[in-house]
Amino acid sequence: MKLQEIVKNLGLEVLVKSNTFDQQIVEGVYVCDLLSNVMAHGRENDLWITIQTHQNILAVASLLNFSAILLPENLNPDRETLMKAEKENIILLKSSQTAFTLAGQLYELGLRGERG
Amino acid sequence: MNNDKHDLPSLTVKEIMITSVVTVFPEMTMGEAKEIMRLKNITGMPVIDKNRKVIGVVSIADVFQALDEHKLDAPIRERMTVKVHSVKPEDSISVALSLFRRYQFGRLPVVDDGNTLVGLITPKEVIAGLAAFLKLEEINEGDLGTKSGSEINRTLEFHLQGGNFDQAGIAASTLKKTLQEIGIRPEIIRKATIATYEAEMNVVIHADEGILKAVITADKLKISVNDRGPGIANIEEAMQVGFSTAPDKIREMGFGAGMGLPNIKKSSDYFKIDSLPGKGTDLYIEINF
Ligand SMILES: Nc1ncnc2c1ncn2[C@@H]1O[C@H](COP(=O)(O)OP(=O)(O)OP(=O)(O)O)[C@@H](O)[C@H]1O
Ligand SMILES: [Mg+2]
Repeated sequence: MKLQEIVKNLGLEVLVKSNTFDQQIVEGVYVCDLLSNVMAHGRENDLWITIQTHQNILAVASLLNFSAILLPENLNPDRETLMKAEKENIILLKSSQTAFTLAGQLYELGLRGERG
Repeated sequence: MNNDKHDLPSLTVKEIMITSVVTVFPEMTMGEAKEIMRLKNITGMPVIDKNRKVIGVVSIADVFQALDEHKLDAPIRERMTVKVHSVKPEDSISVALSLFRRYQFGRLPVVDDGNTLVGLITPKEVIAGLAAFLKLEEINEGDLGTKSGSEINRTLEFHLQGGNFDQAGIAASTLKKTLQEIGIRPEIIRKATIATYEAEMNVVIHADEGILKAVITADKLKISVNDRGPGIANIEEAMQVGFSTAPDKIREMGFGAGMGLPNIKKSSDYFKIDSLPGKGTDLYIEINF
């Protein structure tokens, strides 16, 4: 599914738009705030929902080829996170909804968390 | 030594050489050379013209250099080594042996009097030939593998600073990029990335400073991380999923799940960790390609 579609459907705010934003696809969703657990289970083209806002989430997202990072509950990324995301071309999104609600909405759009 | 020499000349290059040689043409690109080396799992190839005359040699070292200079599109002709040492089929094995010793070549093309390619030998063939000659029953293939594998290596080194979260992840992302450029399979890159990231973070989180070194050979990636820091008193305990001594401040950032070391172990084909409490920790892993 196109990330653009998800952004529109869920009314997400785009904080940082990479130059591949229009083509970006999403194949799955992963929700977790423990970085080593994310490293072990995150997959390419996942949309990652996390409450972590520091810059180390960018390394995790880029190392695992996530399609985007989504911050729930109106959380704002740290200033360095924002600047680094611009520089490294990593898509950052935010929403006022909780991770639970977002996950439910994404599930309804047909996205799944388990891996084939 | 010298008085042993008279035994060897009876064995010639022709008797031990490989005859089906992987070759490339000068107008192919370095990128193509790289792909062929990867697919055939070899570290170099003779470059031949239409008449099978040897005009150069392209090695994985040339590929790495082209990579560094973003010249994978360049024709092999421009990047190959043109000063080629070769041997004749009728040469004795000791001629080949001394060339290998003197120049540390990984391979020697075998050519006839007209410089036409007829075969290839590497130190592996020489050793196997000698072993057969000396009637040695078995040769440890593993030893040979490491020997020829170490000649093509590329090394990346990173200095890691404890507490420096700004730079954390750099080693993993640089290595990932390098492996992608070389054309390593995505599953392997994923493992390498996870292991490197976790090892890097452990130094940043738990130690004072350290060096992470990644050596890429033809068939595997070797990563060593040596740090100066508190060390680990009980390694068995540290290896358990969920065990962590990370302070609260670090845990709030999402570190300290106690999964780093288990992740590293799961991602590697060989895993070794040693530590001297109060001094530091040495981690060594290998990931096979
Ligand atoms: N380089 C190191 N120096 C000192 N202690 C270490 C080092 N690496 C690991 N440890 C010890 O081993 C424990 C377990 O390490 P591991 O990487 O599995 O988990 P963690 O780093 O605590 O958390 P996580 O990796 O999930 O963020 C650490 O909490 C720490 O006590
Ligand atoms: Mg760790």
